[in-house]
Amino acid sequence: MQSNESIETFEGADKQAHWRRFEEATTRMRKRRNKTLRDLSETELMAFFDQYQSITADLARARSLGAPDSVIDRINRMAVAGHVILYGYSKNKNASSKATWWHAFARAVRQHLWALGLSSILFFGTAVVTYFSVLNNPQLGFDLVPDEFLHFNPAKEDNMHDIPSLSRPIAASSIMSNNIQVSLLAFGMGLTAGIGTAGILIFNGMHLGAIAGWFAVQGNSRSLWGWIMPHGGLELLAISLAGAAGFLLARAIYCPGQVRRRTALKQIGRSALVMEVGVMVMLVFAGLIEGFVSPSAIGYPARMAVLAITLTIWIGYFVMAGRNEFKIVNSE
Amino acid sequence: MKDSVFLSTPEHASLEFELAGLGSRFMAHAIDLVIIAAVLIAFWLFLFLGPLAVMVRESFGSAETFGSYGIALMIMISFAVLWGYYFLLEGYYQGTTPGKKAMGIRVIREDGLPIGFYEAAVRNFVRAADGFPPPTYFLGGMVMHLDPTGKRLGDMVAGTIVIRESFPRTIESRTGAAWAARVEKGHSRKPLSLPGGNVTVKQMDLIEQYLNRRTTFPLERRKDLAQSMAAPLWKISGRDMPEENSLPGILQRDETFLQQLLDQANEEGSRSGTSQTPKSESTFF
Repeated sequence: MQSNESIETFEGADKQAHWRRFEEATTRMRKRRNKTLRDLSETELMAFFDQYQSITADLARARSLGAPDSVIDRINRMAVAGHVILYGYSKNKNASSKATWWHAFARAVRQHLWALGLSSILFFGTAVVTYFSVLNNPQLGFDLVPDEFLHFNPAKEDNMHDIPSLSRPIAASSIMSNNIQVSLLAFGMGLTAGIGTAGILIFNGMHLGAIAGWFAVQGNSRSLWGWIMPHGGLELLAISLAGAAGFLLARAIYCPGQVRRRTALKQIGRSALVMEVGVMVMLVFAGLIEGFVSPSAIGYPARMAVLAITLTIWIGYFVMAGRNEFKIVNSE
Repeated sequence: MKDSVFLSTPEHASLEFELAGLGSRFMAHAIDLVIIAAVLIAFWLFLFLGPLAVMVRESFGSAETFGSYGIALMIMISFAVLWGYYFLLEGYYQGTTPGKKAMGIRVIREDGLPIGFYEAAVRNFVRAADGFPPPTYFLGGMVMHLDPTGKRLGDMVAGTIVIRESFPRTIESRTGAAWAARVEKGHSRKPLSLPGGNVTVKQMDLIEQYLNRRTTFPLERRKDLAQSMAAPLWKISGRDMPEENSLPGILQRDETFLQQLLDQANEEGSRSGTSQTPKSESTFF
């Protein structure tokens, strides 16, 4: 009996020491983040893995024996720490990913053109329908057009909103943050199976169409388009793309394919995020133009030129960026 | 919502993570919002009243120009702080923010690994939908209620869960060493026999859990819990329960008694030392 007891004590103490060593090792290693495993020699690595495996075995044993929570919790923490060190920091970044991060947006848009098509149809389609409705039945304008535009009388033909130059930075920044907020909402609302995204697109399209129709009825079309043109191309494209990012998420809910919906969502999440981040960048540019160029006194042709240049640059980017690289990846 | 999730590793070990409740997540968010507000107010004060502002204002020529650009900067920085706070902090500090740290919770990936900037970006940009209609968090709150692992929409796309990482552990478990021996030998805890009856293994575990976490309860609640556990055990212990009327007296009496029972049970299970349990880590990563 006496000898039996002493063995038990010895083994218990040994296990304690083993656990403590492992805890110390993981505490030391996780401070070094990415370098942890690479710093170890082959034997050290094997020893660490052996220790980790015996910890996971202890965890299973402790659970099946019904050890108290405090002990299970302690071994569980050790096992988690070991798991994170062994599997957590091993992402090997390939060299090409650095050079191509700015291609990702264009590639995501090209890959999911259907989403851009769908959101454009909803957005511009609603705008066109509302435009002609208001044109044919101007009474509708009183219901659809926001108050501030209802009795608006443009000051000059080329310069509808004569924003004083001092207020322009404020206008630019608040337009920017407001648009980005809307784009984030359109993106996230994809998770309502696209219903929320569609709602935002339709609502904004109706707004645009109703205002355009109302101004056409009043005979002020030219001044409206003159105002919208410099920034409008970018801004409307960006809103459509934000809707497209939302529809990417919605598609994972409607047609997840061979995987569970949750898995499909996670898989498409990366493309959708890239698209949304790209949209935010576009909206920063659009906001700067809307705050500084659109309210300035430049003439009609200059406004058209700004529209043409910005659209050419962005569409060129979407069509061209990362195209070769994609072919190489495909052919490999 | 479940209390915890088990993740299977490639070695077939199953790691347990205690899920964070709605309450602690809400509190963490509230703390973070206070911090965001404080940062913004400090920034605004600095921008318009600080010594740098005076210098810049003079070099700008007119106060109006400065004011206009200043307000624009303020709008942009406020927006960036509102949306960037969670993204940057969660990305950099592997799933925690000051609010989450205060509540002892952390965002991790579904496979148990720490999150990076990608997960932080997704779960926090989708926050716009979770918070709909603002400022209620109605949509996200509903989804969290219905999801078995308490995910809001952002967590679903990012593939993340929020776990409870630590609770204040002022009293270290004194049973670690005894259990190390038992785990090694394959012994499990046995019921403790007292003159008037047995204390079951489950009851012992409950007592241990209580003693480990007792400081986290409010005093009144702590007294009630200790009393409700100790009262039936006093009856079968064959000892006389000393009369106590004050709250600290009752607490002292019952908790000492429970600790004695636990020590006794551990002594009987294994006679190895009960000291030497190092302080266990209170964070995962």
